Amino acid sequence: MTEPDYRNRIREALKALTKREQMLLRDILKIEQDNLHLQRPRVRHDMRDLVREHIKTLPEEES
Amino acid sequence: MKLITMELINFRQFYGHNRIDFADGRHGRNVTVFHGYNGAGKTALLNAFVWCLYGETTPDLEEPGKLENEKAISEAPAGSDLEVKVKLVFEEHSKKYVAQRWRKSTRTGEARSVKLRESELSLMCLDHDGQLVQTDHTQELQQLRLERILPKELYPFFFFNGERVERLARKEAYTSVEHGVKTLLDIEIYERGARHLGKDVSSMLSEELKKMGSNEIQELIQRETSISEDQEETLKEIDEMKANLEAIHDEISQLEHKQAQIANLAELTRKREDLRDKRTLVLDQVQRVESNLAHAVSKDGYLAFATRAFDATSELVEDARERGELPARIKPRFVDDLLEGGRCICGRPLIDGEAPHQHLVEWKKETGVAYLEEAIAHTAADVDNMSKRREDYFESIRRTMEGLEEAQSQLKRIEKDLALIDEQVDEDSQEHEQAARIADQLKQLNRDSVIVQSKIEDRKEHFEGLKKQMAEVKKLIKEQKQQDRNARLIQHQKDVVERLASVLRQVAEIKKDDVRQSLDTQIKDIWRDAAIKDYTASINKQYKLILTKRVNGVEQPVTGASTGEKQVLALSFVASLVKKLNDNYKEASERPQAMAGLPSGSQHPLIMDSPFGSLEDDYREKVARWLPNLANQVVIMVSKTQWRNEVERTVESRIGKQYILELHTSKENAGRNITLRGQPHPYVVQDNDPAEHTRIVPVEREM
Repeated sequence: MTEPDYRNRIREALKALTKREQMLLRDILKIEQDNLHLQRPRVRHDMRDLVREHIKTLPEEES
Repeated sequence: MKLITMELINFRQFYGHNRIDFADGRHGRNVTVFHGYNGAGKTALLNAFVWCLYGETTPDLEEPGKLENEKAISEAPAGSDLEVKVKLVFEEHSKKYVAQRWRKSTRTGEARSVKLRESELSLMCLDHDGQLVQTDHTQELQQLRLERILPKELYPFFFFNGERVERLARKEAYTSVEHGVKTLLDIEIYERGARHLGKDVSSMLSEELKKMGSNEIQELIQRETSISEDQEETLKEIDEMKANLEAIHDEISQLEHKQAQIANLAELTRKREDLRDKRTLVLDQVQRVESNLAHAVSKDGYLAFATRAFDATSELVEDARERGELPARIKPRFVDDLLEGGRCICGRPLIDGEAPHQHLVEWKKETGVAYLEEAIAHTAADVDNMSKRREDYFESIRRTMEGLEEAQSQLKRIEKDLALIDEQVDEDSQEHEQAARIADQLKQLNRDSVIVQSKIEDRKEHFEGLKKQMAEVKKLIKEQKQQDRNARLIQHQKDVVERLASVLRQVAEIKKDDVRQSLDTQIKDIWRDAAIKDYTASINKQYKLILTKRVNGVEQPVTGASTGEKQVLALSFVASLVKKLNDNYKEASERPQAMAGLPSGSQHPLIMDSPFGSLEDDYREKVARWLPNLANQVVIMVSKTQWRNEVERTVESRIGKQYILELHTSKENAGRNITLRGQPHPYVVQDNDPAEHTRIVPVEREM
């Protein structure tokens, strides 16, 4: 696999997400990074909070 | 991580204070070499890194609990404190860190014995002002920070004993290799993210949804419909009952009308009674008038016939007057008054039997005519009066007769009216029974009306209750709708989370594919360059390192590969891993935005104890050739036998720093030199010190 191919595949996968969801993904990954070597049960709560923070409206409410 | 310096104080073999400056890569010289005799401390030096960073030692370090230098212990007075310490200065993402770990102990009275205390860690970094400050408030957090720089489970990939590096190629190592690769190349982050989102967070959201009871709104809407239907039914009932009540009232009205009509009979009866009373009165009046008339006639009726007597009387009186007999001179009453008074008008007493008295009695007899005169005078007056009375009498009779006639006329009318009423009453009398029935019906209808009215009130009350219930349900529905909106939002969040998890799984798979293929390509290239035999090295999806050979055009696994071959294979793997890390580091800026900010994996030094292990000469030379290229910094610890000419020749141009682990021993005839760059250097020093120890001596490079 060539590198551009690999990066393109990732970009293609990310297209399934809206911009907002991509921002959420970025923050989720940051949490994972910060907690990568910790066994913190808090991680999932932090993630839940992030989801709540990023996804505040229903799709039909977005115009 | 870029190594700058390391200081060792009484760590294992290294007596006193020893300082190492690492090759920094300038002028392409990125290799730091330590030459050490067996037992001089090559493995201990490797462990100095591991202990400083993680507080533990590698499995191949003998007597890992004994970190304190024996010579230092022996020199310390009983009861005094002794400190073993490793201080590592390094750079990470252009930031300078100072990691120090030390352990204090107290010298006991026994020979070479110390009472140990817990080791302690300090991690500091240079702040913006160039001052060294603690990175975190607690040692635990500092340890975690260190492990974020280089994960603990991954150090075997970077700090390893070359003689045992083949362990990475063993079957048991797959899991840790896979885990290490995933962590180092960020794959672990994506997999953990996918797991946390897809499992944990999604479950949390499901729980939240469950608690919200999203079906409740359906029940409430059903309830609302039910209440609405009930309300409609109740209103219908009320309308029906009102219609019923209206009909009852109509019927009552009709009956009352009938009753009113029948009531006319009573009116007639009353009128008849009135007329009868009136007739009685009129009859009384007639009787009274007749009686009065009779009385008047009996009293003054003679007046009607007294006209002639009055005329004769008047003539008689007139005649008497004409004869002078009238009026008389003495009035009899005058004489009576004198007699009764007993005195005459001349003053003489009038005593019965005496002459005056007798005279007057005699004279009184002559007064009889006077009496008549008086009577005539009265009669004459009465005649006039009687004439007047006679006229009055006639007038009175006339009026009485008129009244009588009027009364009799009235009586006749009354009688006539009574006759008419009697006739009507006779006609209406048959309606009396009907009136009774109507009265009963009215009673019943009024009772019905009250009942229906009561029912209407009851229904109205029920309706009001329903209205309240409806308001409550509507309120709940509104709340529920808000909750439902929240539920839908949570469901949406759950969908997003699952989509993110799916994307993360895809990204992890893409990256794993990429990593595995990159590693596979690298391993093949490195192996091809290093290996003597015509084997092919590869890594499968489970990160298993495989050697294959082509037999009759088909790749077959190699069985019974030598230790050297396995070491080269493992080194190929480490080399390919380090290269991939470097590639990732370089391409970090090209990541999609969603993955921006993630660490780039960093550039790690390779620290290898005896990297050439038991390799054959050919392998040594080839490994030596690509070894300096494995990482930005390469630190190797070698023995004299491992550092043969071909290795020295190959690596020489890349050596930035070189040290001799100068072993001091009291063993006789132990002294040895090592020749580096053609110059002899003390390698093992025999002295009289019974405590064997090592000093790290730099080898100055000749320019």
